[in-house]
Amino acid sequence: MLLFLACTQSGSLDSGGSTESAECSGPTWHHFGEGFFRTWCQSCHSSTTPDRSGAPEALDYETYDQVLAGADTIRDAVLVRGSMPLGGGVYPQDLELLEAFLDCPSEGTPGGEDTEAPRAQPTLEGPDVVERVAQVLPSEDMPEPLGARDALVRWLEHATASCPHVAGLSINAPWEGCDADGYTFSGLTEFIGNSSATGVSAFDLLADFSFTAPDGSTFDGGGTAVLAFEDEQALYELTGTWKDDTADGWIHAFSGNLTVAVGETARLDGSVQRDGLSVHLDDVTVDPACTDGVVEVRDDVGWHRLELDCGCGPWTFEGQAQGELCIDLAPQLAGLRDKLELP
Amino acid sequence: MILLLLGCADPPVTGPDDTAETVEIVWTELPAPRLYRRMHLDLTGALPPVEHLDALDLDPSQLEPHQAALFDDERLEERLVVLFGERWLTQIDEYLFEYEEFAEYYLSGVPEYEFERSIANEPLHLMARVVVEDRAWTEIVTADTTVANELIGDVWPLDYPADGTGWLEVAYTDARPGAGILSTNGLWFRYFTTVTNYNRGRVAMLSDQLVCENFIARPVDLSEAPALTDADSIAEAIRTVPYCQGCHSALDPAAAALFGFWTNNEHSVPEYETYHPERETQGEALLQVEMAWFGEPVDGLEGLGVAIANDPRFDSCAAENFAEMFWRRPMANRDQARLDELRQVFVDADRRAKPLIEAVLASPEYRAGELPEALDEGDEVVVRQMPPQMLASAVESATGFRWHHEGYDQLDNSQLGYRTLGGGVDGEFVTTSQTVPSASQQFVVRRLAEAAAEWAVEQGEVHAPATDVPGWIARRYWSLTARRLTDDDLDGLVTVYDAVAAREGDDAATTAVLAAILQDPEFWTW
Repeated sequence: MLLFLACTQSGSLDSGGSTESAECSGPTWHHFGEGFFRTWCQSCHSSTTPDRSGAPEALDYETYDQVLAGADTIRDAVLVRGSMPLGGGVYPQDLELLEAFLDCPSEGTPGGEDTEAPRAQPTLEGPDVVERVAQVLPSEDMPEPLGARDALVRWLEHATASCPHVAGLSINAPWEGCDADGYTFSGLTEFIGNSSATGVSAFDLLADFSFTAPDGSTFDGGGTAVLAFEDEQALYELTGTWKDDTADGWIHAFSGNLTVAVGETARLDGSVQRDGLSVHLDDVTVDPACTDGVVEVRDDVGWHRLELDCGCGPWTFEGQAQGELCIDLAPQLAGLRDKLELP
Repeated sequence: MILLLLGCADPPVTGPDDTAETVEIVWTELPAPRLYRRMHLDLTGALPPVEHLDALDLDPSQLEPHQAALFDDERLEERLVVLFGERWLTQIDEYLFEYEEFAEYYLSGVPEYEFERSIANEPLHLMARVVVEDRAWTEIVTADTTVANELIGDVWPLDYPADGTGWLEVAYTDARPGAGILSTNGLWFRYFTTVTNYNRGRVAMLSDQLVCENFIARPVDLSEAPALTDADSIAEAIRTVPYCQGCHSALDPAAAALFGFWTNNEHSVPEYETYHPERETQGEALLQVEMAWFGEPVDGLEGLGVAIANDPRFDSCAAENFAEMFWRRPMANRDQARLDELRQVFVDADRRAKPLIEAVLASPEYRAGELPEALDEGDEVVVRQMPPQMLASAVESATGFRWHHEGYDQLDNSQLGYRTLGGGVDGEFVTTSQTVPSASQQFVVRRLAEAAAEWAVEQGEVHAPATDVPGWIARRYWSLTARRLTDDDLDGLVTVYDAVAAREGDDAATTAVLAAILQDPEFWTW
């Protein structure tokens, strides 16, 4: 077995031939140890980790001194018993280096200065944050699957007569061969369910297409639009990217992953971007009297977070407390009920 | 086998032999002209001017100024793109997304290959630009710009000027944070994620490339792990079962920071080419973790880039990566002391890569001309075999010939070309260059040599010798290999020349001799 541990090699980066000589310099903390403990230990054994995964409090391995103090424990757990790191997985050559480091530890030369993380300052004031939610989720134009289906129907009116139309869509219908009157159609679509172009009906639309009109405007669909009804509730999912240059409303420029259940009340989860403005909803429940859950709003540089308890709650920006804000999504609930023609 | 250079008191944990034996490694440097050829090829992809070889033959001390000039060579960026391509594996022939959807770009007349290379080279050019402009290497994960050409500049959301040409430093216009290559479409087109992988594979790649921590290579034994039969039990296991936590405690928090690039459909053009800021915080909800990089909390993609730049492994990994790139072999534990020196050079130079590359090129491991007695051939690469992309550029510099077919560079792709057969990396199935000759590699060298020689003579790039055939051959061999022909080999080539000239004339003889030299191992090694 050929084992070269790093306790060697007085350096020669000068040009020309060189000779290496042995000395006990060992792998250093800054070259090896710091990285090793970052890799294998600090996801749990760190004062800053968001999740210690059961690691005892204060048993951290972030500094040279902490590791020296725990050297016997580390040697026993990693090199003797193999109980750490959890699940094993350390390369044999790294175990060799760890042993060499624990045998003759040295700190070595530190790395360079840290790069400063940009400190984000919010670009939206409190009222702007509330207004932003209404811009992305306007009560009169909540994103929902019907808009995607109807846009598809509109565009296909310009396709050849032989092109699969919504009325006759089959599973996995490609759009090649549909070009007509200067309109081009590419990609494919799956459509399952009631295909009526009018009225409200359940369907499952999986889209991966790009259409172009003679004037250069486009309709891109890349995602899903799924709608179902159950016990006087509408359940829907709207995901991916939908962009119809020729339409007004949310489908003009939508991106996101939105899951909604709406009846007397509504529950909304997921993200929505509309015309470049972004909101994320986490377990948001809405009834005519109260809005609960987490609403996040993106400004130019970071995220505002509101933890709503019956409409109001603490407001933070990138973890920094900003005060309290209130948001009422009851109008959005009403708007959705109207659009989906719920009883 | 021998146990080398163990300076510590106790035996290594896995070493069966506790007898330490110190062995001296004596390096022998290449002659200056041949070493300069190696440097020239490494930094420009081209052969050096013969006048430079002549000068170094007379005065080897001129090597350093010649080497220094290479760092200002205008070909350096393109050469670094090739080198980074071998390492980052972005130059694949078929993208999961792009293969089927190429038609949707409506790029009339543009070959698919050209578009594929434009995608692949975006992050590579950003890295190369950082090196060439002598900026801090950390900018590869913190820059708020990318480098794009007119092709991707036209179809992606970039502020590429309408009248621009070539690879320009530009910015995305879709609200994506600036995190260097982490913010490039090119990187994520190559390293796609599926809807349910949630970017974990991407983090594994970043960890391997940027801090040299390879999750995939970990010797994890899952034989005693619980059976995972459904999505819920998998999600639970990832958070609670030690076999899973070992990797996922680091993978998942970093994956959560990449959700602006998470797509609902791996085949949708608008889903893939546009950043999705609204999904940035969704990863924490889906993965049920807070964003972090190996235990250090981060606030999104920009913060992830900064955390990687500040990771102590980033410096060590930079030293390792650049050493591997120019030493042409993976690192071993015996290299740790040298790597620590290189890391220190890098840190002292404010993390600029140029001084690091200079130090790598000054190292005895790089300059070695003979295999040290203490090492086996498997431990050290002394003679490098040109991978196809270098072979292509070296031959082009010698003859003006570039091997194209139907718009495809024959030595830069494996779909309609010979990149893999020639011993190269295809980025997907073959991830390291061949280091020893093979039959297919020799076929590629032979066909390339024949075609290049014929083309060069036909086009007048190379002229038949008017007089002094032996002198012409000796000079040509020297310019192509930086080695002197032995008398026997010179006699052999003169015999070939005379025999062909007698039957088919001087041009055919010139072609034959040139093709023979291009097939000589001294040519296709460096």
